[in-house]
Amino acid sequence: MATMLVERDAPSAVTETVRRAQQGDVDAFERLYRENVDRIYALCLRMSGDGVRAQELTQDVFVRAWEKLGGFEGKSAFSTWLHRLAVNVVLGSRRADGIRVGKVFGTDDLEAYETPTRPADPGDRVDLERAIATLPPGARTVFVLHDVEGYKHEEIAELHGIAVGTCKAQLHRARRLLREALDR
Amino acid sequence: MTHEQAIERLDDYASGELPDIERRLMERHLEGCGACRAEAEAIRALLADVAALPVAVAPSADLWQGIAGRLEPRAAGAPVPVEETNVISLDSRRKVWQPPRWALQIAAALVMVVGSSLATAKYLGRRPAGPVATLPSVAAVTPAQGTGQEVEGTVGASGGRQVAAPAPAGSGQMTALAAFRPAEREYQQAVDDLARVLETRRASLAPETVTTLERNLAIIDAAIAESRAALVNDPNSRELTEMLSSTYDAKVQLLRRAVQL
Repeated sequence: MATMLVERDAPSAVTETVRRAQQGDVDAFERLYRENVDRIYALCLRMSGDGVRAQELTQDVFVRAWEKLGGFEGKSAFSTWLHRLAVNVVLGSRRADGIRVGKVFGTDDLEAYETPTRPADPGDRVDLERAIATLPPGARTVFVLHDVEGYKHEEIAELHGIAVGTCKAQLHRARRLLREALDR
Repeated sequence: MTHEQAIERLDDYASGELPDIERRLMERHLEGCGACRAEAEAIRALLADVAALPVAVAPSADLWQGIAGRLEPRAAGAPVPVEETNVISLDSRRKVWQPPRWALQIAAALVMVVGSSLATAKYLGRRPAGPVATLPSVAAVTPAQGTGQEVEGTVGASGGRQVAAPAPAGSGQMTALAAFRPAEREYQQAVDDLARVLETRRASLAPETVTTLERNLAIIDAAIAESRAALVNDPNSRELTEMLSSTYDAKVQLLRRAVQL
């Protein structure tokens, strides 16, 4: 899945739809939403581990995208720009949430994973999604960004405001906990 | 490459992030070390499963209406902020309301009591008489447990959050670990209370639910044990304290949800 980033990073001019949305065309922005919502929701879901929270975060991402869209210059694909924005929104929300009880785990929201947009082995996949959702928040964030989304440790460290060494330790912890959870 | 060095680098090796020289040294080590070879293979197997996860997941509801209602009309050419990093979404702190269930009033009441005392303990545990540091740009939020509501806490002028700060070794000041201990006792009390309630309801839960619950609790317990062991070795680590605290939070939350099933 790390190769996704290579695809996302392909140079792209501002498309007609993006240009119209930048000019305030809500219909054009809705089209951008429809084209990207599933990937953004998947990111929010895995990073938050909670289906309801992921829906809130997804909405926040698109509202923030609307606010920031004028600053998008087409130096990368719109989806790349939006993905980065989504990571910032999720991490920002976690900083805002602090460590409050009630927003940490979402182990009863596994039905949220039941509507993938492409076929997959449901048993193994749901087990893995379930295990990811039950990771401690810090470990889950690093694991999702590194192993699922293909970010480098240095990028995660910068985004997350942590040391690279801490990032690597969290990834090691996450992988070990996942293997234990999956009996591997 | 020594065995210890190999263990430290196995994650990077499995991710393909080792420089060529280190990768060759690792491969030479793996030829003669079955334990490391098995570890590397296990990590790679996990990564193969991760690579098969769907890139996109459709939300269960159409979120557009909730978004469209929040879009401010914008004229073409209107100035927009360029900075987009480190942005904290205030809207993301919206309350999530959950309807009360009459049959669970007793459990809910217990959760409320536990949550209240827990929040207090956390607050006290993070404000030791000794060193207290303020982290910039981090908001404090105090939970109101069991009510399905969340109450935003007071945010100082700097928007900071008070946490126990590491004390210099030998300074005689309270360490982060020592400052956290009162909160840890309260966490444990909360866990014990919730576990007792859960035990009375265990027979009514589906076997699959019990299995899932026990598996998740085992994961969390392992994380707690790991964080705590690390904190004992590094008692001034604020990060480890937060990690331990958040893991306890997770356990309390999981149990709280379980008693509400």
